[in-house]
Amino acid sequence: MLFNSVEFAFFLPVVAVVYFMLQERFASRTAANVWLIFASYFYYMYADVRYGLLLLAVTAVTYISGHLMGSSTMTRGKRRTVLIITVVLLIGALFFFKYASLLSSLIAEDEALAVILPVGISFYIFQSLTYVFEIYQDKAKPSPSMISYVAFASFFPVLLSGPIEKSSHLLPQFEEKHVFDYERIRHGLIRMAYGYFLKLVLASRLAIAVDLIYDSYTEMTGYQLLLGTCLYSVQIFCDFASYSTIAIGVAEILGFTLTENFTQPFFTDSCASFWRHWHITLNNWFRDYVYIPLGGNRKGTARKYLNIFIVFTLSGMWHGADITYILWGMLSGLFQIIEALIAPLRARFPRWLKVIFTFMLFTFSMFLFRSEDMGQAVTIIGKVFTEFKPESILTTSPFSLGLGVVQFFFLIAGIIVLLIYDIVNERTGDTAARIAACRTPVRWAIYYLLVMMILGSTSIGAQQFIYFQF
Amino acid sequence: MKDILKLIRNFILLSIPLMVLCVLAYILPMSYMGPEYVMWKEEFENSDDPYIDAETLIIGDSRAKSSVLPAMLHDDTYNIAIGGATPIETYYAVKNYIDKNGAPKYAVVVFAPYHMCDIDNWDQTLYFNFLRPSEIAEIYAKAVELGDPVVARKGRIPEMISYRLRLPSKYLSQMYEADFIGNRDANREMFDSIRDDLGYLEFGDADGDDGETREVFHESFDYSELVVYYYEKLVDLLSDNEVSVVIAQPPINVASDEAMHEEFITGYTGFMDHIEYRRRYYNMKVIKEIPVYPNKLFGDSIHVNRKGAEAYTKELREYLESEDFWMWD
Repeated sequence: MLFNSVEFAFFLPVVAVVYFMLQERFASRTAANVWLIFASYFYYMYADVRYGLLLLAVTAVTYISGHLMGSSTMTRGKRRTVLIITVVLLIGALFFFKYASLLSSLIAEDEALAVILPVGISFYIFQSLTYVFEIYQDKAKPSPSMISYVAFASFFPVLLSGPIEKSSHLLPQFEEKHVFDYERIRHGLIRMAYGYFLKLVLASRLAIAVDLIYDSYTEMTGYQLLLGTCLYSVQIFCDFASYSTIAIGVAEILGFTLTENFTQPFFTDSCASFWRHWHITLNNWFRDYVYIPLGGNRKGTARKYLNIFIVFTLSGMWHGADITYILWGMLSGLFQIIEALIAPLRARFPRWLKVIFTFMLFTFSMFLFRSEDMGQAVTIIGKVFTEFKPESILTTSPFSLGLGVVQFFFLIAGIIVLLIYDIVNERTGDTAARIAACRTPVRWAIYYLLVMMILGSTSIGAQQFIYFQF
Repeated sequence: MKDILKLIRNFILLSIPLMVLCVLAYILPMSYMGPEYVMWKEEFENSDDPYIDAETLIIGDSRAKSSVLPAMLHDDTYNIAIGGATPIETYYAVKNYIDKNGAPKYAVVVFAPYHMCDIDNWDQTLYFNFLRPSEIAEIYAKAVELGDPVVARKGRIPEMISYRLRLPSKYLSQMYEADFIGNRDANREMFDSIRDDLGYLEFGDADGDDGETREVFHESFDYSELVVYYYEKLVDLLSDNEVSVVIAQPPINVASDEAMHEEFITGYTGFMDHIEYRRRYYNMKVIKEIPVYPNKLFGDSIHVNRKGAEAYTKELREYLESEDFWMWD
């Protein structure tokens, strides 16, 4: 079930109303959490009933291993063994679902395994693993309530595309009482509205232009391909941040606080900083469970660079079973290493130039991320450097990118709103709260602006979120 | 409680733009919809209040609509065929007509053979909203029972709700395309033209087409159980109302005839045998042969142009007269 579907418009109010009623009716959280589990499994299995079995298996494995590791009779060695078995099982499952088709096609092209990739698997496996890691690291105790744990592992707002929550942050919230709170719900609804705005007003329109350019990339000039990829950078941000923002808003309506996943990444002035503002929860996961265990920056500069490279290569692999993703990850790591090496030189440049440079480096890596295969990526990058044809800047009409005049200006208006929202967010940390605090006429004007822009975009472009494929 | 009411009130206030768009989509269809809608509108308005008191009805899909000129066929003839419709929609259209106006004495039923296999316009049917919710529900229930992959596909129920509520996600792109009211004059003109031609409508106006028709893409007669169910229901409906029926085949061009798979033709002929075999329809005749016309009589790859319609209507009239069709009781 998509956040931007008619089904979800009926699903969420029903879930919220029943959840609050159960919270009010019973002193124990069990009934409300059972309801959340039921809702989450319904949400997940709506697409394919089989998906639920995998989620259940992942939940069972992590819950049991968490309890085993939390047992006072377990020695350090045995806990380590349990951890390794759990990681091998879950990462193995992830690897199987992501890579089985690719590997079998490499071995025998005609008899490739047709393995369906369950949507959201990368996200909920990583989230469930945080529970195991945190217990192993003695940062958390095993959940005393199996119901709470199952509710955590299947929590529907984050199930399909994150944010990837740490168990120490989200799990205790299932033991708290959440009641109807007008201010909190209003804040959550504003977040949701902004998420829909990002997806429907911006990402869907940008997708039309980007797809047009990439679908006929052989006929495009280098400039047009670069323009298309710059637009893709913004598209993927709007698309992915929209999902996270809606998820955070939905959870907030229910009384839960999730971790921010994007904090104005395009305002950052270095690649290292960029990745601290982009898909924050995944990067935190890799930092805490890969980078730091590898030694982080404690074992010298060379080792630090190697660790960064390993982390980003793994991040590329996490994204998908394609060499383009792996190279994209490597390149993202490499940019940070080079950036660190030339730090004194970079210090001489003004911040605005570094912001643009960071965006362009990210965009360069997007050539790999957006391309269907290496052949396409190589061709496109080659054309950008050898067939740039600057004169095509003058001949490429913005209205020729598949949008037409009205939709193009709609897009421009949307980008202006995005910039204002992000600037306010950068300064205050919470634009939604600022909107909620505005005087009534201003607040309602903003509400109606968002609603009108969203409604005016409901029939535009694709409905699916890009990150569902991961 | 006060906060809950406040939330509900604000939600309603914020829903006003949505409601406005839904209402616009509901009240302005003739101003923003495309030409196919006009045809449906004309047909359904005709069911409520017939343009003429027709003794003979032409029933079928776009090929019937574009192939039979009522004025040339016989007196008091009206073409109520609907472009993009399969026997499913046609059954309800004819039922509505009979319920409101009584049964005609004669009917000529013409469907493209591929329409027994493909329900290719079901979204359009939902989009136009001419079928009643009870009718849609009835079709959906039957489709679920028969496991129809189009009508009963996953996600249909929310889609049906979206169409019924005229949600912007379904209608806004067409409204944008038509600048909200930009198609009004053209649609009105088309509506009047259909009426002037007693229900006939030209689909393609080219002076010839050598493209292949949809039947060519079927290697065998892989019929849809749902369509066949409704085809039989349609014939039963006519029979129960003592309508004399001739089932005829619409013409295809030479290019399509050469490319059509033998197995498809054999299967379709077998299906027509089956329809004919249901012989309680004492006043029914089935013409099984698919007429082949020169490419130059086609306005596009699947519909005859006006000259083609004249030729087909003439041929049909001669056949019906030779069979004393209008003397049947």
